[in-house]
Amino acid sequence: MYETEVRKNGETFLQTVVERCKRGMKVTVTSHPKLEEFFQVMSAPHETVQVGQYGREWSLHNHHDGHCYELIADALIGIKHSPAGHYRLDKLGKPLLLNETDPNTGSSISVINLSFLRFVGLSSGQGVTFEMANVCTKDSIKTLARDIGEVSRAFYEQYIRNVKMVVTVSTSEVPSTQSSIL
Amino acid sequence: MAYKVSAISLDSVRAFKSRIINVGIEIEGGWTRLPPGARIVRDGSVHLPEVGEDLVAIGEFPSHPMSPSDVDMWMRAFYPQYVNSTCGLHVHMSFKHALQYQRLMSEEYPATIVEYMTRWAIEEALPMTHPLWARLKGESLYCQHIFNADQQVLNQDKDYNQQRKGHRYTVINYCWARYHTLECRLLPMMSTVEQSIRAVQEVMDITNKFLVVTARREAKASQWSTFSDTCDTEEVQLSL
Repeated sequence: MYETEVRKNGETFLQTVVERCKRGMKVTVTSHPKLEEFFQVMSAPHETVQVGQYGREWSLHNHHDGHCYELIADALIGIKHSPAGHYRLDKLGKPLLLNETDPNTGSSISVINLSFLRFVGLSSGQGVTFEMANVCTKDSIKTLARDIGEVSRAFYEQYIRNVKMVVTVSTSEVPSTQSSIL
Repeated sequence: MAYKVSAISLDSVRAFKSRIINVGIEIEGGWTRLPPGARIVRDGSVHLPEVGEDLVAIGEFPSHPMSPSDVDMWMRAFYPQYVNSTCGLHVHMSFKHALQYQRLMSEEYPATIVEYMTRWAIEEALPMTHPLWARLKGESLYCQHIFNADQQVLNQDKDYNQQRKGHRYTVINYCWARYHTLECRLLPMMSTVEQSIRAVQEVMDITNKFLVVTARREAKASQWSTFSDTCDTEEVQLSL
């Protein structure tokens, strides 16, 4: 079992546990309410979608109905780049590691599929658990868990963390002018 | 080519319950008469120039998935009349749970297969000219001592490239995407059906014992990414 935890001010912002299971791979995700608030703002009011409409590779646990926040903000569509790696939020029900073509360079890149962050209920109770019929070595599951943690942190920094702007407007002393009348 | 890890010891395992649900056997050779229902698939790697024109078929005959207990009967029914060193004997195995399959996705597994089949070859007193020895030493291109499970499980098609990363010509081929099985490609066809049955049984026994030894609970390893919630502050100075 491999856990990735992203913390803010001592509070857990996001915890992702990836482990091998009888069906293949199991992912358990819990988050801080701030994450769900973010997706609520970014989705159509009171609009959710079923993960099964987009892909059938995620099998849900604990009676979760598969509802996810719908993305309507263009800014969250497509591949996102960060120093920690590439990720995207618009591939519900698809593998967690995607091989995609970089639209800028045309080269093949590995993209972490963070779309599971859109699940309704991530911040309540035990979060959301889903399984996939993938098989992999211990090394690759460990790498995947680490990569999920790193790009999750990048996503937090790029979209959710507050940025404080201090704008100071100062006046400079205007040099007094001698009256030329005198 | 050599594995980076050593075989694990299976010597402590005395009794075990079979974890293998189904087995598929691919036998290669030349047939002078075909049993009813047998359909031989052409295989470019099989050559029997020493055999005359009395062959009615040459190539590979794959079984349907069957219970491990049916392997003996199936092999006796369909074993070819002629074999030589170009003929392989491949064993596909499937398991009840993907978790068992994943426990075999370890470089220690093919290393253990090679180690224990070497012991078996010594017990069987195979002559040094027997084709199994070259395969055990990693000298055969058809069962290279390479571990590349993560790439192999994604292969959906069968290709014949023996060089590309993730090719199937390895001691263990993890053909999950195509068949949900793993394939042991180490064995050559033995000169007798009895010896081939013993070899297949040995591969299955090693696999079951490996699963017994490695079934311990997977260690929990945590990875933490921590950062403070102090927001980024940017100061902009404007002067009038």
